[in-house]
Amino acid sequence: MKKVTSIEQLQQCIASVRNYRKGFITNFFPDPFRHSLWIEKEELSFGETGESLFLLRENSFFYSLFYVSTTLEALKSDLAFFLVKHQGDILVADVVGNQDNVAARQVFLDLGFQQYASLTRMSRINNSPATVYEKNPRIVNGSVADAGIIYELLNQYFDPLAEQIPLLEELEDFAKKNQLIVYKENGEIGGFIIYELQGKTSYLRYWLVHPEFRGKGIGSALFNELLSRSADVRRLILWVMDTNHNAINMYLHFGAEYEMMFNYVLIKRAI
Amino acid sequence: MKEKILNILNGLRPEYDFRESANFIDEGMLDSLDVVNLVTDLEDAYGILIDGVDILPNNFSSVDSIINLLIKNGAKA
Repeated sequence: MKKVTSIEQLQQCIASVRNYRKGFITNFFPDPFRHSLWIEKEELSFGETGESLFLLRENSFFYSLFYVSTTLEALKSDLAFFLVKHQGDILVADVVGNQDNVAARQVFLDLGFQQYASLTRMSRINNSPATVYEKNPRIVNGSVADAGIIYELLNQYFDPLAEQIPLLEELEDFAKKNQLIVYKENGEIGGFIIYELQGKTSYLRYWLVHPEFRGKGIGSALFNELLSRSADVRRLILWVMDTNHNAINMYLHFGAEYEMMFNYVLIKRAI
Repeated sequence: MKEKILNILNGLRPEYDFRESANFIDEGMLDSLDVVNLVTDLEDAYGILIDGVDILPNNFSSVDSIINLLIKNGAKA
């Protein structure tokens, strides 16, 4: 494996797989800001095997594995070869897509991966002008300084294997863009929502109410603030763990629906 | 060609009106995951393979840019 040194190099490697002109399957979806951070921190490596490109992103105690390949058959043989050299590593791969393109999941299962979790995408379509809810004075924009505390909370309450915890730099960027909504009581953060706004679409990335602050309607107040900020948004998208029934019920309550888009988290433990 | 592309876009993301948009990417109507699916749908519909270096968001930002991309990659107008 070699370190990826630039986004351009990454694009070139991906293009070279496409240019076999036999097909294209991947679980790597370009995110220039995030991936530039990985490259800058020397966390991203690549290796080309057969008709496939494999990318490994180094996390605290495991590697996220991404593939770019021509066909399922090529992925199967190339991945088998790749795994021989990575037996000592914990590998986590996300297979993402609609019903038609999650067949790669079986390739991973056949090669010794186990399904660790699954997530579903839900979306809420905004058909009428958004309701502007009454402002809660304790709900404010998170500062760059708050980003550090939120980073710790994310690491404490979210599952790094399944929920792709952002880097501190990403959180600071959310704060700078006022996309970090926090609930503060006596200077203490009781909950937050992190979202991204892109034109007519907003993405709810993370939503947490600290256990000590639960049962006070803070989660709803945060979500209402997000809706108030999304007046021009047509679609709100989010991913949720299939086992998180409380969250799913909450999203359904707020008008979200299932999108038939899936994310299977597959893990291979070190031998 | 324009109608066919609009139909494909509509199938992918029925909640948006692609006729009304100046830039599908800037307006968040297509994300990177959608673009990957769109490439497959376009390739199937036109029986072509789109060159890897052309898979850049700008090439999917409007119906006209998609038409240019398809013609460049061998689709018949």
